[in-house]
Amino acid sequence: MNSALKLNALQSGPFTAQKNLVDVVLPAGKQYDLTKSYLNLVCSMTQTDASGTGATYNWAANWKDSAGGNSHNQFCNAALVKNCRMTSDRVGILEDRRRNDVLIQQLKTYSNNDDDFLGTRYKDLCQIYGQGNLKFAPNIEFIKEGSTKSRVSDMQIQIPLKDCFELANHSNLPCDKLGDTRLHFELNLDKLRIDFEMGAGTRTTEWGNVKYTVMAEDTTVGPVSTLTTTEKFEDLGQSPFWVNQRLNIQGDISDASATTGFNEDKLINSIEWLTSGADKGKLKLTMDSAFTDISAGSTMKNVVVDGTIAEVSLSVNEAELILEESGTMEKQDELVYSTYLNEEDNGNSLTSFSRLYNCEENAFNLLVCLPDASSDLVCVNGTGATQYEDYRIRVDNVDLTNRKVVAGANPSPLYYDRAGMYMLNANLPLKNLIEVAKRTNELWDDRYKTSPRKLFFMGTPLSQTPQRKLVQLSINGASGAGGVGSIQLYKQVVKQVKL
Amino acid sequence: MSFYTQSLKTEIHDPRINVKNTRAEFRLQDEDAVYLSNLRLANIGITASPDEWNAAAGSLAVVDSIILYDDGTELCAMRDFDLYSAWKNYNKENAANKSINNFLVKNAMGYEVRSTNTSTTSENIEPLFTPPAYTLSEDTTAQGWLDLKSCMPFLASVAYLPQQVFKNLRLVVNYKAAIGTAQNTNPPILITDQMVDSSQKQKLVSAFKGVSYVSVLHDSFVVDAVSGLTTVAQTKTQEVSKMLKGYDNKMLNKLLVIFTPQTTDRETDHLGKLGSQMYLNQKVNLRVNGRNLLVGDGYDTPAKTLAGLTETYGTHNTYMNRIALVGSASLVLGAQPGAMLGQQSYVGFLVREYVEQMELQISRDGEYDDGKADQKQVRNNASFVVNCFGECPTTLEVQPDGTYLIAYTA
Amino acid sequence: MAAPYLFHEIQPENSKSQYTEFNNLDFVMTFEGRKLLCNSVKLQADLRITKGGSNITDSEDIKMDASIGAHGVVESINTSFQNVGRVENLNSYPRYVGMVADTTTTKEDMCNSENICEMRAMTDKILKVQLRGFTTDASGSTTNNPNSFSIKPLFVLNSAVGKEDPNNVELSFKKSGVIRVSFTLARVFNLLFGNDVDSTCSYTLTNVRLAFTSVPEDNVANTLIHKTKYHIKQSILSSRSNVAAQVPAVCNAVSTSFVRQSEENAAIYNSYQRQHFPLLDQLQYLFNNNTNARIQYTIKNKQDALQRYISSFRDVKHSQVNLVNLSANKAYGLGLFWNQYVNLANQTFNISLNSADSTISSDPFSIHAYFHSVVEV
Repeated sequence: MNSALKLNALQSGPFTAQKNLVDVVLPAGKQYDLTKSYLNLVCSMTQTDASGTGATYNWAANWKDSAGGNSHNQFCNAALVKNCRMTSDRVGILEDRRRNDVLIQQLKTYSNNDDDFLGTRYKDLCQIYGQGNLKFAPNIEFIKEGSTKSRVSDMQIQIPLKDCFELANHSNLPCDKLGDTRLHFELNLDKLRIDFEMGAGTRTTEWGNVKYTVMAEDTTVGPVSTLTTTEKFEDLGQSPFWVNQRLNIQGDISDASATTGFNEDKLINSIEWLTSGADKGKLKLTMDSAFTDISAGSTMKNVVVDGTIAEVSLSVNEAELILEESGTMEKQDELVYSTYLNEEDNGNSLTSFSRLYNCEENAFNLLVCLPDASSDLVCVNGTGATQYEDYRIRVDNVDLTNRKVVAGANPSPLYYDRAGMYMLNANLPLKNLIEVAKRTNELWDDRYKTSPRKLFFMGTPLSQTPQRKLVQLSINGASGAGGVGSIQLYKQVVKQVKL
Repeated sequence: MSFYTQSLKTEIHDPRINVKNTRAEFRLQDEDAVYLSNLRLANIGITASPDEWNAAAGSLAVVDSIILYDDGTELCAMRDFDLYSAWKNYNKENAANKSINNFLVKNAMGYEVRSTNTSTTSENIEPLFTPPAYTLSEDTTAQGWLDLKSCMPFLASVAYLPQQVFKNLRLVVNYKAAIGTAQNTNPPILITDQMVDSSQKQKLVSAFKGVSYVSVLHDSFVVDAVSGLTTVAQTKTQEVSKMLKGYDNKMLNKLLVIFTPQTTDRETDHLGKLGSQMYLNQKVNLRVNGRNLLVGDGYDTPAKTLAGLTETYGTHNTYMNRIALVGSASLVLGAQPGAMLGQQSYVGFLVREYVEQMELQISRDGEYDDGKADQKQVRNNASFVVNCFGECPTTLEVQPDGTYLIAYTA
Repeated sequence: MAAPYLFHEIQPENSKSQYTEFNNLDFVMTFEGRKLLCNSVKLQADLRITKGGSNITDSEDIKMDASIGAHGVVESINTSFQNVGRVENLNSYPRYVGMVADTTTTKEDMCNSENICEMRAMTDKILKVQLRGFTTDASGSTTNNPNSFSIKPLFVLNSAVGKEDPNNVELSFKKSGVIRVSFTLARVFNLLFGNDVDSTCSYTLTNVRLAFTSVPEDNVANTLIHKTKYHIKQSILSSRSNVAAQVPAVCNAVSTSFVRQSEENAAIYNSYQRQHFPLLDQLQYLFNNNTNARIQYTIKNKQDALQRYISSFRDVKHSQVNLVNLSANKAYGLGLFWNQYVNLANQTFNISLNSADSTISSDPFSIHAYFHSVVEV
């Protein structure tokens, strides 16, 4: 029976923006199934508020922009790995991937359809708003009914090895022949920011629907510690409330002569989903103590709830590898695999860009990524998709297409055809042509439609040749749209290693 | 490791003949060329007064037929292509339509649930995107891309097309003239991959002995309107049994049946005449060589019909399987799905028999509609065309003298 | 020449005009001189739901689980071959269907025809609206027909793979003999849930048929491998629990889900809900009480536990396991795939659960475990 084991990184935590190197060694003598193996970053979370209530707060992970602010770009877990390398005692360097973050973010966008993304996001560090317009932190158990307190646990960020190394598509990596195999990761922790979600002043934007935050009136005389929603909930998934949540409760106590406001912060002690009576389907929230008092002849009205202020921080304390051993040992004399070689350049904002690059003889695929200046991650076609309007590629002085490939806001069918050719040659499925960058601040209905940030894909098959190839890239964009900035070329090459 | 090696050359062909709104023709006549069968047709579209493409067929709605000829010999033909491709796009998974197919053919299927659910707004089923639009400008009009293997079974079965056998390949695209107002069809392009390595070419040519594939043959007949509906809430059963001659003396694998109403009542802009209507208490059976294919009344419930279609052709992208909802459709359906409800109901039969005689038996209930003056124009009661697309195994066999014979397989 | 495909439809042995909760549907499948095309068996019927004898209205909160659809009418399936004996006895069947849906489909995948004909839908609300009946859009129409369904049960006859040729799933009558399939219909309070479900609610099935396809006997011997499931239900009465099971089969995976005992078989609540087991601190899977041969560390990570649950079925990237559903107390499970067939007849398999929730003892859970096995015919 093949086993799954945990290997600790050579370095100890905490890992920070400065201390961001992780090395793990796969022991020699066995074969490993890297398709199911992953790097696991174990993080602890601290949540505090001024009152020391011990409440459970929601939060979200975001990607920093160039100014340190929130770029609002959704990113995959593997984008946390900037550079990675695999070496072995007996063979040396097996793979060396630079700017793996840009590469994998681009490839995953096109090789996973929307449903693939929705189906695997329970593992994602960075969440977007789901159907229902709610977003929940992955390390928190939100308990939406009953009296068991919601709990903050350690955050464990899974980074599949398949997203870092092509050799990780191997279900029998022969470390019996390779010897000790070292995996080296350089993390993008400087790009990670933690933001408070559903905090103060967010009830109109982050609570699913503002109507959920409106509470029923009450005339029951005495101290008030319960609230009943005005909206009925068909599904508890729509509820923005959880036990041990801290709410800011505002409202009025009105009688015939006067109206007095109240504004209190309280913890939810328990939640009941009412199943009978006129209020069936509504939620009844019981707070930890009374937040107001109703005197005879008065009505509690205009009650709304909102979030409160707190501090949330994440610390990456440990790095480990969850490694699957192969169930069988295969006899292997050589390894034939592909990997990516990276070349970085800059287009100097030229709107009519043309440059020649050298490609290795064994390069069979070329991907050109143009990450935007703000995130340095996502290949956005900026300024209403006019930053890159068309492109053309020549190899050894021969045009690959006898006309320009039109991208932009209305990509030509030829553009899709070229994308399909690249993916076919890379042995990856082309499953997604939505080509809109997902944003973490966009609600579900609008997520691809409101001011969509179009993506740009430029890739081409190459032939393996006896000598190095000269590849000319020509990219045109509208003037004033920014031109070509950062360029990341990924040349996919074949490698062969005798064991 | 890679598909595109030094042995392959990708080319983009412009049409040799292009008559707007009528026909475009490509000729692949490089001597000794060996083309791979993964031919792709691109820039399928029109310029016209702006409007949305058909939600099911997309830009393929402008194509009347696509025929692959070798000189004058028809190798493979897809006629009524708009109707067929509307079904072909429906014959896909929701996930595929949502994320990729919509963009390739410019239609609008692929559904999900909208977000808001409050006392005043429901979570509705909607397509993720609305249909793209054609416009008056070639730069902004939405154009489609089509992998010809997906709709021409001959190309799906053969790996390559050696010019030594097919000496004068022509691909002809015939257009519909009036999809859009003030329409002009855009010149399409054909993208081919050609084997250029001479030793590889020689091996492929000498190994090519022929191919077995399916031809898709079309047949149709008309069912008259239900008559005699005069009273509110009255229903009347209509039973029809008609012979389908188009498949006689051929092996028939599968049969797709489409019901195309001959009325504009409830005809939506989204689908036009490219859907297939579901009828009340609809029953459909096929009688092959004197024997009923299915037990009893055959597909006598909507669920059996849909299950049979799925068993025959695979998954289809449907959000609901009924004509209407009790109560308001807007409770759970957005505008487009609400309008299209009950208009994408296809019937599929798995036959796998040599047909000497075949008969399609259809029964439906017409129903009085007290909101309409002419009951025969009510969609559920109106006459409809039964369009059938049958898959018949065909063989192309290369003869010793280098010619070839095409015959339906017995 | 024998017809290449014969499409059979048979009625239950105990033929009645309609069926309801607790009834048995006994089918006898005979196909002498032919071979059954496995993976083609379908249960088809018309379903009507009533409250107080009348059709349900839109204002009534009466629902079915949309991920399960019409599979929810079947509580258990018992299959036996005349020449082999009993091959599968599958209990708590709808829960299993729900677990498969949770781990292998997204909500949006319900817009595929194989799910729509089974009365599945993207949300419970969308299905609820359809439960009112089938009608037309004719103005003044009084048509209200029951809803029809055609389900392909996830049982032994529909999970076959050919041993010599994976695509050859033909089962010869000479090998099986007569096949008896018995469906026990579910209780009303399991099929339906919602705030308006009470003892006046009921459901009926009419026009019940079992459909399957056969092909001519070609006298070519072949072996089929059928996936089967063994269901075990146990109680979790405290925050530290050890679920021990000895299953009379060789298995390669286990998948489990949870539900509060107070919400099982009760009106209002969804008995088939795959509820969140709260505040799980540690999880271990042990063979023979102490051998953690498969996972050599204690699982403390929610994502790790959920990923292994999904893999115990098949990781196809589509799932309904997401943070919103988990917070809504749905789509949760635990499981393990150990990549080889292990005989659990002579050793115990243990699932060790350690939770920080102290309310479990006062409001205990049921754990439903499905062990994945195979039978060769």
